[in-house]
Amino acid sequence: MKGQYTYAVARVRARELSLLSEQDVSRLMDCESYEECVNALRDNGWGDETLDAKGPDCDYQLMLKAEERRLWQLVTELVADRAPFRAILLPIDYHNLKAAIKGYITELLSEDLFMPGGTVDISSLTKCIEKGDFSNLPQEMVEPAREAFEKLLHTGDGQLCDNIIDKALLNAIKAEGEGSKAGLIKAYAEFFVASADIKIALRGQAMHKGREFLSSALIACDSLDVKKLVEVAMMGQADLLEYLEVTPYADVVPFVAESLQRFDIWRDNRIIELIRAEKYDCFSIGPIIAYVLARQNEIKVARIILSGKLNRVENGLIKERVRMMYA
Amino acid sequence: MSNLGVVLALLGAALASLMAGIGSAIGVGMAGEAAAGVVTEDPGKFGKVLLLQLLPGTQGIYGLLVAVLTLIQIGILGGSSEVSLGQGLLYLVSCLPIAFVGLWSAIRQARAAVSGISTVAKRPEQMGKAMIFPAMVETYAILALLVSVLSILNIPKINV
Repeated sequence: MKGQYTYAVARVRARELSLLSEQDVSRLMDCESYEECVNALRDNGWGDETLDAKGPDCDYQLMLKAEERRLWQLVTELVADRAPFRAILLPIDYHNLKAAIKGYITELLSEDLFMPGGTVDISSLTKCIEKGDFSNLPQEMVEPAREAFEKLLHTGDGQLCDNIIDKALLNAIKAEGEGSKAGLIKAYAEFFVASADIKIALRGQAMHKGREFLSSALIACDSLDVKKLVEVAMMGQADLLEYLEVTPYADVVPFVAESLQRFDIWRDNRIIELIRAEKYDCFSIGPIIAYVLARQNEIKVARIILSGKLNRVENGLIKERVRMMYA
Repeated sequence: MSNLGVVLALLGAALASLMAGIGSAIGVGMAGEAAAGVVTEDPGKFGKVLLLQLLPGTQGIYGLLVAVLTLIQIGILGGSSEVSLGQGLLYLVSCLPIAFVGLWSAIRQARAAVSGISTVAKRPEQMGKAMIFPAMVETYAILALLVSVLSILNIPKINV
């Protein structure tokens, strides 16, 4: 029912006031020290009581994790069923799967490796990996988990393990977009898969990966011709960029031409552009999903600034990595 | 069936209060959900969002007004209830504008009010403008009320 999110959307609208704006981000960057930056975020309501007790010397990772936990607590309060959020929760689940497999095999399993908010409980996930019994995982995760686990166990190749899980994630998100009635989720899933394909093609081309690797790693999507993408990637970066110019993702070209590292900035900015239309909807799940994505983006930007300040990176370099804001 | 005129007139009064009342109940409920959402985050905005929540409630009052007027005219509230079949039918038809427009406009006004509440949540200083958008919908409920009231008041002058 379309109107069932009226209360939740109104709460989100009120919460949007406390999102960091471009000006807030500039102010954070203008802070002279890491401690000043942490205090500025605290003044904005970031962190919790346990971190407040530690003063400005607290570990910023803990602060950001606390923010992520708060975000998912809010979502749990607002929406009883998390199913509409699966497309944005799946990357967390698959990240945690990677962490659990690698942590178990390298015997470095630690709580810090996991991200909060996923649909799969972390303790049951680690139990599955420890027992080697993957049947309790969500159906679409069972085979990739088994395959990644066995490959890592037998070859010790972490990249191969990542590739298997990343491909499974893309397939899961694509299926989520196809099965969703929400326009935002469909658009998000399509963009997620297409941008991942572009990134794989760009990196594969830069690392001189073969046609077979690219063909197996890329996932078909509506907005890109994957076969053509493999062809042009095999021909060289100039041909790849020329092809991207005629796709809906032409705006990636200046970013990639500058540096491959700037690809993620382009991707995150496009997601913010995608969710901006939700600012004018008052009844559907869209604004709540948009808020979650905006908060995740905000936490990412805060991480970039705080780690930069902590390591005394120049403001100019930090600014280059900062993303567009939703507020 | 000698009182069929009264039955038809009563049906009109019932429709006016029922449909406009249902519309207002849905509308005020919808706007109330949004208002509660804003107040959860910022209790200081209670007064502002309450005003917006009440806007879709007027259609129910208009429906009640038309229903009471009809009941007075046909003599159910005091006097004798002597209404011909033709007059009864006219009362029924006279009640329909506020019944239908009341139902529909209350729901549409609630949607505009919910949007206004979202505006107030982010920009409380824009309260006046946020009130105007849902208030515009009220125009059509008032027009329907006017048609219903004028018709009901003039039916006794018609010989049918």
